Amino acid sequence: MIWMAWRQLRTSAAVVGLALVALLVTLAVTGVHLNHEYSAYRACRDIGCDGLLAQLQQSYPHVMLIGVLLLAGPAVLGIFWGAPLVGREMESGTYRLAWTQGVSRTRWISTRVLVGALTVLVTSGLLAFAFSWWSKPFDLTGTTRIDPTNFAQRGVVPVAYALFAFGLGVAAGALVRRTLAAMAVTLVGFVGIRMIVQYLVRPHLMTPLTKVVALGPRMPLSFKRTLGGGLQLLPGHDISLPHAWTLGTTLADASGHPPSSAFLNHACTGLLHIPPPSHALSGRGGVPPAQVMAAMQTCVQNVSARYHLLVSYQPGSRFWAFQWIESGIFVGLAVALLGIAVYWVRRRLV
Amino acid sequence: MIEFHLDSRSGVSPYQQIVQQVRHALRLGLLEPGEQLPTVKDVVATLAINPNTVLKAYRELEHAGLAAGRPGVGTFVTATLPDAPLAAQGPLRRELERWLVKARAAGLDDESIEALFRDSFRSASARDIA
Amino acid sequence: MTSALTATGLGKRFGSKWALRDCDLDIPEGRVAGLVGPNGAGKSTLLQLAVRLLEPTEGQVQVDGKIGFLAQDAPLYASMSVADHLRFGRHMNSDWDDAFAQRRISDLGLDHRQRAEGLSGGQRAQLALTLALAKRPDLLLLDEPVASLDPLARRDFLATLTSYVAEHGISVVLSSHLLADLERVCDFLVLLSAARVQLAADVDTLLADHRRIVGPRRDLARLASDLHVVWSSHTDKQTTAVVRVEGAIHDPAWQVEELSLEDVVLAYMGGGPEAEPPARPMLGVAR
Repeated sequence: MIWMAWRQLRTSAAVVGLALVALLVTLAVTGVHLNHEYSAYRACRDIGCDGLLAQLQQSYPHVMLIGVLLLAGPAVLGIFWGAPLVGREMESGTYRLAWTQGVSRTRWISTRVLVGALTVLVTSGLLAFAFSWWSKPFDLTGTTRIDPTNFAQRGVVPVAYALFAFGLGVAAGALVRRTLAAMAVTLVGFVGIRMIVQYLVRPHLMTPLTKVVALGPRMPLSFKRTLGGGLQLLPGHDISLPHAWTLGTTLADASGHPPSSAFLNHACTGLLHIPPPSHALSGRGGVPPAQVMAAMQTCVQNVSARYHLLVSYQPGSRFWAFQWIESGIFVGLAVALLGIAVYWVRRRLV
Repeated sequence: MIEFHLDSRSGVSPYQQIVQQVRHALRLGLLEPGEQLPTVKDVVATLAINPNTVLKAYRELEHAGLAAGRPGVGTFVTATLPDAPLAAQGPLRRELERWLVKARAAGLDDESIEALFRDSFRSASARDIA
Repeated sequence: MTSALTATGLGKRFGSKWALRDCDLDIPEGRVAGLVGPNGAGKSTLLQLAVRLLEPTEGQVQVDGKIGFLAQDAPLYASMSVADHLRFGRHMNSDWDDAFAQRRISDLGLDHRQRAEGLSGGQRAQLALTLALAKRPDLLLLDEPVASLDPLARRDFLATLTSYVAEHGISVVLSSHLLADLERVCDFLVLLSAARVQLAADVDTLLADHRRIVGPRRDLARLASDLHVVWSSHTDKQTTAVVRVEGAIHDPAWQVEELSLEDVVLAYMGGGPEAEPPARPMLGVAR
């Protein structure tokens, strides 16, 4: 049965394997060079050090695109290795051949799932490990690892995502019994769950930290008109903190309350008389009329007397904790989905 | 060695067709005592019929005393048909020919003659059974 | 006499629809049994229940010994070669007769390295048959094995099947639409219609017990008690009927004819050969 499971995977595994070897070689060769550049930068003691840093950070932008593969890869593996596992057999009727040739259904499904999962594990694991190693010089010189896009391309989560996609594909194939439909379900399900976890669950895996940032004349702010004709002040853009994942920025006073509209109307009367579009009146960029500038500065001065910015964030030091927790979630989902698939094949496809 | 064929539209069951073909071959002298009939395997492979059909036909021939099976070897013809060959039925043939002339004179066409013959044949056979 | 396949009160429901119901069946061993009936009558369901691809909703089905199965449309792995399929059989079955399988492949003239998708319909059916037979089953079940084959491939397939039966004496159940084929190949017949067993008997018995009677128009309710009318048709002057009879028919008013297997089956399915216009398919049921 192991031979059979592998034989059915063989062709696509060969293609993926070849691509993987090419990617690994690329990462290895360029990665060695990157490490040299980094060592040179670290050893630097004289004036040209900034130049070395810049050179490092601009190296190999095309190889960095492999990160995109890591983002899409798990879904691809799940769709093309997971969905057809049961789905194709049901659709083409070959399950009627396989299940009457002396092997029990349990052995059939569990062997194929194990062989498939192992292949997914090895493929995604190798690529994830290689890319994480390759990215290290960048991570050590400014890239925020815990930032969502980078987070998904590093560490162990790509493997967990891939296993989840695979489990989702197999379960979809077993329930839907049509390859194409199962692939669609897998894609939608994968993207949906990934986004839900990334935006709704991950921010709260551990209680976010808060940093107080004083409002100053240079601190960007914008305002907009509410429906009632009042004012609402917003940060111009999310404050970025080094190595941290900024979740959100709000205005608050010493006891944590946001400014009331009454206060804002009073503190920023000058702005009340300025017609929209107000988004062009942020304190940076553009060439605002001098009157707007003045009104803005008065407003900020008045507001900063009582209010400051509260930045909610997850620190970079929590990178690995988040990696393991989120991986645990996705691997748990994968196991549950594969369990459903096995149960379905054994008990329900009768 | 003779070869069998099956007419799927003749209304006669396959095993009867085989029996009839052996008897016909015997009558025409195409089969003689001592000759082997085709093996069950060969007949089955050529005609794609149930082996039991062939076995049944051969068993009936054995009961009629026309053939005998030799285990491990095959089935062999043992006798010719007890009734004289058609060629020797002179008087019967001439009577038939006279009847045919009468039937044509009465205005019957070929189909009517056949129908009349078949009908009478059947009623006579039914009378024999009852 | 031992049974190749025994079903007791066997039934299978899909959702709210019964595909098979109250099926009691006893197919003697050593027979080639034909399974006939209109589309949707439950033939596939019965075969799949026997081979455990489906679980019964009620009742049970029992088979003695090993079962070989050839599913409808002879499913094979399109991108795998002939040799791969044999290897697959070898790996999956503990009692695989590889010498037999290899011999058959070379007798058939198949190229070992040819992928299944490149084989003709007849070759696919033959390969699938090889896979089913190489595990040396005691009972072989075939679900419409020749339905989509051209006449020559069909004849070859049936010849292969009957030759194997002649040599090894296994029991066979095959479902088919093509009654003419079944009459040559089968010595036992099971007729399924509307999810129920309508007939299950030796072909010889069926042919001996049924007759077509033609005569002047009559009320068939007043026939002799040992005549059971299976099907009848009346014109203003004439009555035709297919009857099951236990002895001879004595009434001289009737013209009595023997029937082919096809005629008997059609009569049980509700339309005699004269009742349907010739253009209709043999066992078609309008849906």
